Amino acid sequence: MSPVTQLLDAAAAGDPRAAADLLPLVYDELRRLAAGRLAAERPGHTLQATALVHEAYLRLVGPDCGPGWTGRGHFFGAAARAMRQILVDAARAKGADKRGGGRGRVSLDAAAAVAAPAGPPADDLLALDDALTRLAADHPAHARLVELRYFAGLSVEDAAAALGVSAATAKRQWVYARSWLFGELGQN
Amino acid sequence: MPPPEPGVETLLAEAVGLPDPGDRAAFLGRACGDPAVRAEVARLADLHFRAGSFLGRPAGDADPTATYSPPAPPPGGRVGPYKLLEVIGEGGMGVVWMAEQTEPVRRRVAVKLVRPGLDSAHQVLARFEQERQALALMDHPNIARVLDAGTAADGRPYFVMELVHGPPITTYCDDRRLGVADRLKLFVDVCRAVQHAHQKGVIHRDLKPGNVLVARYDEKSVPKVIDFGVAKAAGRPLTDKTLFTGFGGVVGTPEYMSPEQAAPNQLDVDTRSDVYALGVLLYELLTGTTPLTRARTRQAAVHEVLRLVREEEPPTPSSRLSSADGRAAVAACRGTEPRRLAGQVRGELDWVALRALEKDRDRRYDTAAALARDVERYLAGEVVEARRASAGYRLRKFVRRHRGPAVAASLVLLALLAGMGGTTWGLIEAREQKRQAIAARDAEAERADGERRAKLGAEAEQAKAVAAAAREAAARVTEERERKYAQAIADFVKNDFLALTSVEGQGRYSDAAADQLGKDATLRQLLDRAAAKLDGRTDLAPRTAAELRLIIGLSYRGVGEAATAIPHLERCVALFRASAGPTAADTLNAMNSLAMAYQVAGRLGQALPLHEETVRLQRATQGADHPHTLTSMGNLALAYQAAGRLDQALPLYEETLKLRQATQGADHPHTVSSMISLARGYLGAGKVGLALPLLEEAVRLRKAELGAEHIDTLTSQDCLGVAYQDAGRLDQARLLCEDTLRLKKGRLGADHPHTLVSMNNLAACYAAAGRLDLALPLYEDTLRGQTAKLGTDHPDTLKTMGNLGLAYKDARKPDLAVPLLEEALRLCRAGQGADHPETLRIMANLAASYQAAGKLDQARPLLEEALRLVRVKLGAEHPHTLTSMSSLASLYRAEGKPDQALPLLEEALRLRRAVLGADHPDTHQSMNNLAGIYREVGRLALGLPLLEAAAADIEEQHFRHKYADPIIPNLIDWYGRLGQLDRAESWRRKWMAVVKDRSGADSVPYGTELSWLGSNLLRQRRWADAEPVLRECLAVRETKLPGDWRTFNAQSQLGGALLGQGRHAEAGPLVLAGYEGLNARGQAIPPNGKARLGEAIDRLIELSAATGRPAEVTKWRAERAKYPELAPPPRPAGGP
Repeated sequence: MSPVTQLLDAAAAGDPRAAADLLPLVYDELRRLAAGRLAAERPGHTLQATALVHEAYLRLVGPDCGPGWTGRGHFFGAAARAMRQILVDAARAKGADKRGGGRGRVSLDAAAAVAAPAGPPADDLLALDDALTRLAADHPAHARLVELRYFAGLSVEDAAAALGVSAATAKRQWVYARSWLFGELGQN
Repeated sequence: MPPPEPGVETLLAEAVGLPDPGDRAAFLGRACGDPAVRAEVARLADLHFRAGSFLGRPAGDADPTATYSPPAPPPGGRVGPYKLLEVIGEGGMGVVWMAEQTEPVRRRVAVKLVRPGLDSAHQVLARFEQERQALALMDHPNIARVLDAGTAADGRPYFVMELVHGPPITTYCDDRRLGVADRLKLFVDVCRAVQHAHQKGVIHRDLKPGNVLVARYDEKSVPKVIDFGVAKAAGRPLTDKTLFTGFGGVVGTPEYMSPEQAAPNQLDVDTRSDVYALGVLLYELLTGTTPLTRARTRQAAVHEVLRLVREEEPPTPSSRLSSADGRAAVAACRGTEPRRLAGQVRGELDWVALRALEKDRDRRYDTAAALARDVERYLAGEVVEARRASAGYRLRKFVRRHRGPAVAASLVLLALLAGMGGTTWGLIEAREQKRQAIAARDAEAERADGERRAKLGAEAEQAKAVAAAAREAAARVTEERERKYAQAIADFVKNDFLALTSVEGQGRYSDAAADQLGKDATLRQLLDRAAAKLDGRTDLAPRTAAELRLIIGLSYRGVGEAATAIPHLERCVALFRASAGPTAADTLNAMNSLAMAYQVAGRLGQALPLHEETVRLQRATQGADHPHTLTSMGNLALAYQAAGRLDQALPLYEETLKLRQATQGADHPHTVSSMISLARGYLGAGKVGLALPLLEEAVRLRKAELGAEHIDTLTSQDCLGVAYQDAGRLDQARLLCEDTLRLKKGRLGADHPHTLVSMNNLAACYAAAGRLDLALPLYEDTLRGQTAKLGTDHPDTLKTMGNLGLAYKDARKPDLAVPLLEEALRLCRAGQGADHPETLRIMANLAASYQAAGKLDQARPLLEEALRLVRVKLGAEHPHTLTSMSSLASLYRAEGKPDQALPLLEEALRLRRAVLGADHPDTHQSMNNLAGIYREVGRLALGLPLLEAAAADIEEQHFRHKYADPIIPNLIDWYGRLGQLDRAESWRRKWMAVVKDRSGADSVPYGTELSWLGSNLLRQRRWADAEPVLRECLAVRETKLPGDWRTFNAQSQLGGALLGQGRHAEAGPLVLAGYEGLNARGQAIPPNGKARLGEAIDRLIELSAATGRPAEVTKWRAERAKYPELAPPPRPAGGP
């Protein structure tokens, strides 16, 4: 059993620490995958976040010892969070480059290449990140849904399963969150 | 941020369904009282529409529209010794050129230049070298040989192949409109070629139409497989590079990729991956589409595509054919039409394709040759091998649907079954042994081949692979005999009955299963014995035992044995409750299954509380919009309706449908089921207008989703047929019911409960259209079938009894109707309750039969009781209530109490007009009855317009109307009485045509009509008009009624017509013989026909006078005086 599987099981069983511990593992794996890809690719092509997250899952957990959807939900939650962090960090780094300074907790070459060509412009992404944090203050479930959909590339149905709500609920929440976020971004 | 009020989200979800801002504002004005909330929802809805594709694609995903631009030719226009001439193809892997070779020979070849950027040319060529020796061993007329490989000046690797002039096999077949058999023959050649390569240790890895070209040599079609060895050398495990990372979009061909190639952990690709690709090719040759369609692989995200390849079960080719868009074009390309094509493919070819496409490669054909052999078996009209294997597969599907330890349970079931002896088993065993022997021989040959090649010095890797394959095959052979035993039985037994349980669930397996239902009784026996064995087992874990009980219970229910299923399902529920807990999902699902079994078995008293309990628990534990909850809600509503509790059923139906549409989508099969259920509820409540559009839409969706001949489609057609009938659209109803019954008989057999339902419905159509001659035998057959299959007290049986009784009554056979309906009423009261709608209906039918039998004293109290009950039960406006009112009024009238009948009929007509509409047959019936009462009470002026309006509607419906008789004859009679002879004659002639059409030109009823018309024409002294009519009448009667008084009357009347025209010589013999015949049969003439004798004598008097024979005149006058009471009646119409 891989450490990730153990953590997923624990997370599924309700251990909050396990869920927290997942994040760095997933984060590292995503970064590793992204870096590995970049070595093999010519510049100008981008990766699909969706595929990366999925592949990370398969590598970390394996296809056959898969826990039920609860465990998968925790994984994708962690993956989405990690993906968000990678992309935001990359966007910040870009901004920092322009301004000649800044911070970054990852080596940004990999992450930037993942995000930059196909993702939204860096400023938009940072604004979205801020808005998402504000949304999470009052509506944590909505914010998680957006993370799963936008950063992990899950369908509404899969995201609903990961969050343990019905697809209908997730659809409603999505409509609400998307409109709300769009409104927030428009104000800036 | 604003704190989202409760309800904002819900309102927003509805608001964004309204793209028009005006509609939205109106909706919010209606739905939302609080101005602050309204403003917030409006703001968000507005943002929603402005947001466009905001957040639409995940961050970081590549733009799927980006594509590679094709690489340019290398510098100098040549590679190595090959001069590139023109591009002849381009695929995911690279560009193919036609090229000219000059050294060592001059010839045209194909050169494939591999796309750059993945592996170095060095790696590619190294891999090619590894395989080169094996490639060189290949020598097959259907394989294009790879001749050479190298590196172009720009560093790109290239391959040189034999040049094939021809299009891809699919294009070739379509262009030439090849039929299924011709396509299959080409396909067999392809399989043989692939088999040849496999024997030489070469796996293709990228089989697809683009790599199977068809050339013409000597007027023969020769398929050529190209690119052998190229995919492997190019080093593109599809999952990893070509597809997965999706540079510039998807460039691979996931449609042909096997599940193991799509697996994330990259199982070794072996020969069976090629078998899978051949399966896809076969599928495409048959249906024109790949199992996973291109449209879908284009739409889905890459990981989603891979998941689809791994997990999604393809529809059978035949069901794809009956549902696909453009199926007419697909069929045309195969030189046939859609229906025939689907019919050709259904069954054997379905099995073959699906076997090749098994997700688990162990379940596929072992070799391409085995696939070819099975296709040849089909071509030779033999039973295909795939059929057996597919049965086990369907068992697994079934088991998968029921999750949990069902896998273990099914193995136990198989073991139980394996314990049985019998001749049938001997047959399976013999076959199995033979199969093992062949497999062993094949494995031995394979091993020897591998060793031989290893000796020949083929690459070590290759030898290893071959050896591994041989070991695998050997292991397969030496597998435990018991497991094989069990598996063989699974193949045999599960094929039919287990798959049938999926009638409620997944559609496509029920097709094939239904084909065999009822045609193989031994399956039932096997099931019985398995059930008996299970009773004896005490060593099973509770959940295992519960799963087994569920399988057996559902199997019994599936084959229409609900009563037998019940004890198994009861045990199943008890076991689940004890082992998994009273609110576990498995327990609740089992409860739903049990409640349905109660319901199907007609035990509503048990079904209802259990349904209610199930829904309550599912709502609490799984949520109100969980699919399982919705299923149980729908079932509960059905049970309410079956119990006659429509007030509870309707809101529940409506709620279920709404939730299904919201959570599962408008065209989901379950949503369609809910539509049909709600429509049935509306029909039960007499709201045809609401039911019809729902049902028409449901049938359309079912056809699109499942095909025109699927059992679920047919069931929806049943409902629509009933609705058409209720709406009085009898022609549409009849055509639909006939079609449905025909298809069901073919699918399910003549004695399946579903088929019997359709028989009853069609008989009802016939009866409604007045065709009792067709309705009676069909009802009788239905009742026989249902009594045998379901028992006398089953609701379906009782329904048919009620219908047949009424039809007997309508056919003037009250002596048959009364005892049947008395029995039905007894059974129905006992089984379904004294005020159940069905009981009430039977009461009304019985009362009408009493009345027809002249037993008014028995009829009256029964009808009064029925009307009282039905008013309470269904309300004052329900069609059944109105029918009861009409019946009671008719009875009062028959008893000579028109003053009691009149108000009742006026009220019934008013309500029928309002509820059913002015042109509904039942409304017409009320008009006719009311006109009759008006006549009795002397208010003719009120009656005639009613009859005229009804008759006009009936004529508009081409006289195919339940009440055409008596309404039209009544109208003619009224016109006659009122002296409106022109109108009477005009309607008479129309009616004659109807009778002629219905009964035949030489039938007694048509003769009667002719006689009516002839008599009236005589009375009007229109001799020349009367003559041909009476001649025809006489001809009919001389054939059908020789020696009858009516024939002599016609003779005399014809004489009268000639007499009037002064043709005395011709008239004489007719008038005389007519009179003599009538006179001799004086006793046989009914009282209302006696006048005819007087008329006959009058003609003799006239004849004698006209021919100047006064003595005769005197004689006949004396004779005429004997019948003073036989003066011609005052009215112009007269009876024969």
